[in-house]
Amino acid sequence: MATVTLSHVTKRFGGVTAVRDLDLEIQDGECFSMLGPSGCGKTTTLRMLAGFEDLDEGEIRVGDRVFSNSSKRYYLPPEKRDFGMVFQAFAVWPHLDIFDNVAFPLQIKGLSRAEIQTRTRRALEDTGLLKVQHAYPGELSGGEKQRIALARAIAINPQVMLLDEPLSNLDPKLREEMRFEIKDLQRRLGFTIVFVTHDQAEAMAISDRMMVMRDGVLQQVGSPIEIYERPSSRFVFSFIGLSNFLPVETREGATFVQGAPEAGPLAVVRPKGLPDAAWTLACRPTHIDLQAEGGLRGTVARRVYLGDLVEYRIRVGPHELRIQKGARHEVFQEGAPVGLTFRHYLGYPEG
Amino acid sequence: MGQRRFGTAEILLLLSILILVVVVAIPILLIFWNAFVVEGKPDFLRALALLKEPDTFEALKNSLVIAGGTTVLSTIIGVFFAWLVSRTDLPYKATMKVLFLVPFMLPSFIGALAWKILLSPRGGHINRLLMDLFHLEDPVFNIMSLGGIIAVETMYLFPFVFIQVSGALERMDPTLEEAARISGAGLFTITRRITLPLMMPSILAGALLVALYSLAHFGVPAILGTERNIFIIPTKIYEKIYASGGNFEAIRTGTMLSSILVLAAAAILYIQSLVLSSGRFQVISGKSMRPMVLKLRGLKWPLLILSVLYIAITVVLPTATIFLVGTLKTYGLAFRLENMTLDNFTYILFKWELTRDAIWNSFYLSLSAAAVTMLIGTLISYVLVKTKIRGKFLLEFLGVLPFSVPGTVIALGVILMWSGRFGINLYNTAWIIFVAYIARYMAFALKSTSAALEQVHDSLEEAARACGATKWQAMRDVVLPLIKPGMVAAFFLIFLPALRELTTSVLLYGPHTRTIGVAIYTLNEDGETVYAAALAAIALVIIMAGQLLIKRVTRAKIESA
Amino acid sequence: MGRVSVEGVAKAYGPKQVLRDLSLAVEDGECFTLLGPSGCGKTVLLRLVAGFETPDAGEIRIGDRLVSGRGTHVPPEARNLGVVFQDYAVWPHLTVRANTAYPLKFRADAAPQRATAVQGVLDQVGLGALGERYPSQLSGGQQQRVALARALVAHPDVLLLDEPLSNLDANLREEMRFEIKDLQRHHGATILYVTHDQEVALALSDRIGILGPSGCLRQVGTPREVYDQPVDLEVFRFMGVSSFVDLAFDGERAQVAGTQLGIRPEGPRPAGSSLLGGFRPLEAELVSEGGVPGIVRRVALLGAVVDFRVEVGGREVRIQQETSEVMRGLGLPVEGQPCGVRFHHLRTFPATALGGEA
Repeated sequence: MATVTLSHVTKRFGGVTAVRDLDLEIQDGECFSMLGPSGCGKTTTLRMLAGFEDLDEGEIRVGDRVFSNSSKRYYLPPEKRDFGMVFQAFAVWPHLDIFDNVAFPLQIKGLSRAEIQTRTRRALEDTGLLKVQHAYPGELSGGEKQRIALARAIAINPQVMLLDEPLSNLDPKLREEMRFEIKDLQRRLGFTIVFVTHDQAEAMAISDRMMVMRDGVLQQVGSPIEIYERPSSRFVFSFIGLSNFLPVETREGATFVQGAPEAGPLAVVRPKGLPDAAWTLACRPTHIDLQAEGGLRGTVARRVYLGDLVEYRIRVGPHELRIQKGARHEVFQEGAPVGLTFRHYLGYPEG
Repeated sequence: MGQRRFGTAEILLLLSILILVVVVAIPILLIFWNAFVVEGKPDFLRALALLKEPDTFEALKNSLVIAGGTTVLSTIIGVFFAWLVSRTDLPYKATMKVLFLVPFMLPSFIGALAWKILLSPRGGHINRLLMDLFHLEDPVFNIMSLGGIIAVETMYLFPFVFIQVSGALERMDPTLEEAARISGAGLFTITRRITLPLMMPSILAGALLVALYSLAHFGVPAILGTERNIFIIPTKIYEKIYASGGNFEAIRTGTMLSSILVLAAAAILYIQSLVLSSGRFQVISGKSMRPMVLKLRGLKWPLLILSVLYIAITVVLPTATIFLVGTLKTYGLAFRLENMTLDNFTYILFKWELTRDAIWNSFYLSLSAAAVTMLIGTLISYVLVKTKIRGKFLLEFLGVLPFSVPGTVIALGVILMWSGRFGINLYNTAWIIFVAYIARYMAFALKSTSAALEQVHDSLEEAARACGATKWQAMRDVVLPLIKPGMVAAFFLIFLPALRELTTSVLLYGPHTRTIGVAIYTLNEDGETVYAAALAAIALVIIMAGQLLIKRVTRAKIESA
Repeated sequence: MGRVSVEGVAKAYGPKQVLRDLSLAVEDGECFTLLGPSGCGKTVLLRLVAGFETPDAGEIRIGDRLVSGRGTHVPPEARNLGVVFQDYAVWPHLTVRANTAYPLKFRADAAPQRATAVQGVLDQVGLGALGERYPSQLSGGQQQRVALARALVAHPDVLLLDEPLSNLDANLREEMRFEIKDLQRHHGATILYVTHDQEVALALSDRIGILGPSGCLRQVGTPREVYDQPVDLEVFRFMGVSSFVDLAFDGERAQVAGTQLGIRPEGPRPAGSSLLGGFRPLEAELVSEGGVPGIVRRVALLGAVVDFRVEVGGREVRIQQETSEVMRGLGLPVEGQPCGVRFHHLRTFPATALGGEA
């Protein structure tokens, strides 16, 4: 079983706490993403998992085997962990041809020549590299290099695969394609994926479950749809997609925008559990409807044509909201008054 | 393509070509001409016959042995220390890294002088000490041997390998090694199968530089070998030219030996360009991460002591020896306070005409050569980097020449060119050294100024044009200020080595045009060991002051940018 | 006075013909974007207009003045232009203020007026307080603002922008888009903008010219025209993510994979030829009942939208739907599950245009 368990994991670099008291369980066979802005601790977590960094506190187990334990000062070195790993800058060895790159981990294991041959061939086949097996990495494109790295990682049949921003050096089209390939490989070979990225769309597209980190602290764990639909905090809401935050105040059942009472009341219900009358309404640009009459009154500050979509910036008192509508939708001119209704929204405490 | 007028660019190109032809190309051609053309006809048989002569053959053989030995030894030491400071947890790594570069700044012939004082078979202080201590009949070390020359050259040349390899190790993407680790390989396997093969181009590049330098060096073998009849090509050329009083046959022999040097140097540079251009070894990553570090554990302190000891023996000991010997009242006296005096220094600096002139000559020659070469280099680099005109390939070819011409060859070339054969006789004047310095240091100027110009993207100049500036205004307001740091660097890169130059000037000096290097060398030849050491000590002080100045200037530049 | 006209311009580098017989006109005060894939020659055209290159044939006029062609070549410094380069090209040895003031050096204005003009334009680009900084102390976005300020300070007739946003990250790109638009409104300069990014072109331009890979102009029109009424399949594909289905016509009514469509595809319909229906990901949706039968191949949640790859009539097409709609409707379908596809909008193209690709 390859359930990966992190208990109370803390890592400090000098005075900075890179990861703080992280508890996490990654299930056998799932694709788990670690998402967050740069410097949030996601890469450090992955490197502790790989064994490249020691822990200041806590324990990492895979199945029921301890891999790292800070109090016992026990650290299984990376080369004994039997993980597959793919790096952002590919890290394929330029002095070895494709075959030797992929065969390297098998050679280290001391397998027989025949065994190395068959397993390397299989890994090359799985990644579509068989035809170029005698080329050198320098002759190949970025996408192909990342395939070599993948083939090398799967050659030893790892139970756990660590991927450190593996797609961010590729162009957008290739990125999408490789995402599917990684998913397909996982389906066929059944390994657990731990995937680090700063790109929320990528994380949501690839993961069974994901977590969002910030400043070394875990913010939320859940399925992509859970996190998209019910972000636990204002930070997660803003990190996971385009967002509007509108400070509002609910008094005697009526909700007004702070600083713009003249815009009229909003047809929203204050979510339960908020401490104060003043709260922050959070809303995606696609979840606001525009109409000529009624609704919360605002003015079109800008209109930008984006092809499929038209994006509006609507001024409501001192605030500006970002709204996206289908291009075939009714068109409002810049400067025109307009009414807003909120289809889906969430509330967060003020501040 | 529209028709083109004969414009400014063409004039600049022609001027650049003309300068390189006169300063570098013709002298080299004259060497080949003198070597292989007899009475207007090519004659290669004589060249072969010359090689068979025992003393030239011996010099060739020694050159190969010394260059080979120095290269191998420097590579081993350079790679080892580079690995130690960039891939282990050696204490005080940063400091050690700086210390390993110190030998680079010191002139090797001064080191040779110190080692001769310490380890010459008869009079060497250490030898005498050991003989007294253990009641030995014979000296323990003999620095005045092939092995001794190799050892001393290695002390001063291993930084070439060290710099290349430690730089490459630092730039190397650490995930290349981490990927091997996660694949199951231990550190030893990774070093053998991943790190070393990836470093191979850098190691080779450094090793070839060592080979190039040790092949062309005059100072160390002259001081340690000549007395013992150990000659290599540059010292043989010197001996031929001087011993025979400048007769024609001697010059011809010199030109033939020079031709061999030029061809060997060209071959080394060609191999180097092949190594560096093999594109398979692109291992530099943009993402900066801390590389994997080997924990030395118990070996940590012993290895630090070894490194410190190495620096102490190769840098501190010879430098201290020079300063101490420079204070002795008479050579041979023991190092006791009553035998020491500072009078030697005042005598050399202010009273003795020979040394006073030498310091002055070195100073103004380096200063003027550095300034002029830097300006010419900027001009040529500009044409090479920034213009698109036909005929540029000619300049590109000529621009490579200065890199492959050893100092001895340049000296001989300018002798052939400027001794009245073409109507101008500069022999025995400072001008001939000046011309030789320009040829010798052109490579430095080209390297540094063309690197600076390549940094100035065309769009910076075009932006000025779009703002309303003419071509000349754009050059004055944008290009020149931006390449100024590169020009300053070029100036110092020439000024400092020229200050301590020996290889070229030793063939060109006249009665009143000794340089510091020549003065130290001739004083040593004449047995004036104390004055030689005192002058060497002064040279060391000047060099160190110059290095500090460079650091100041370049740092100030970086901060203001 | 700010009109730029290019007539019959050709340019070759050695054997490579980059531009051939290209003509276009940018009207006074207009923001015109030249959009094309890399290597199509769009930057060459900009450099020709700027005067950094001379055309092999043809004429270029700025306002009424002939600047290139017929043996005339007005050098760049005499064309009264502002140019912003992709790599910003701000001078690292000069302060923000000195960078911005440089173009005024070549004008007759008196010094006090210069200082006011510089401060004015720095305020406009939001760098009013950073005049004494050096470029190395600024972020990429700020450096690009310096370049903009420098290009605008001398009130050029025409502003040439060469992919000025492509080195910036997505958020900054969006912000700068607005700023460029604002500055243009304020200064009234004619803009010729060169980019390969169709989103920037759509958002910023009054008109867009689409340059094909061979260096000839494929279509000129407003953003809506080139996006909604592409002249051919290649322009359609270039302007955004596109999918195609095979169309069959039964008199007036269109069929896809044997199912009648509820809509009438737009575009020409020559009799007897096989046709494709092209659509954007948001122009179709998955429905639980009815629609053209398909099989869901891939599902990827991208945040605001869910991205589906669906197999319809032997072709894989891409459909995107708003996440909240999906979750409140069908829920996320499983890969491999059959589904129905309803098209909202299709454009016809001749089937031969697609070539061998599916």
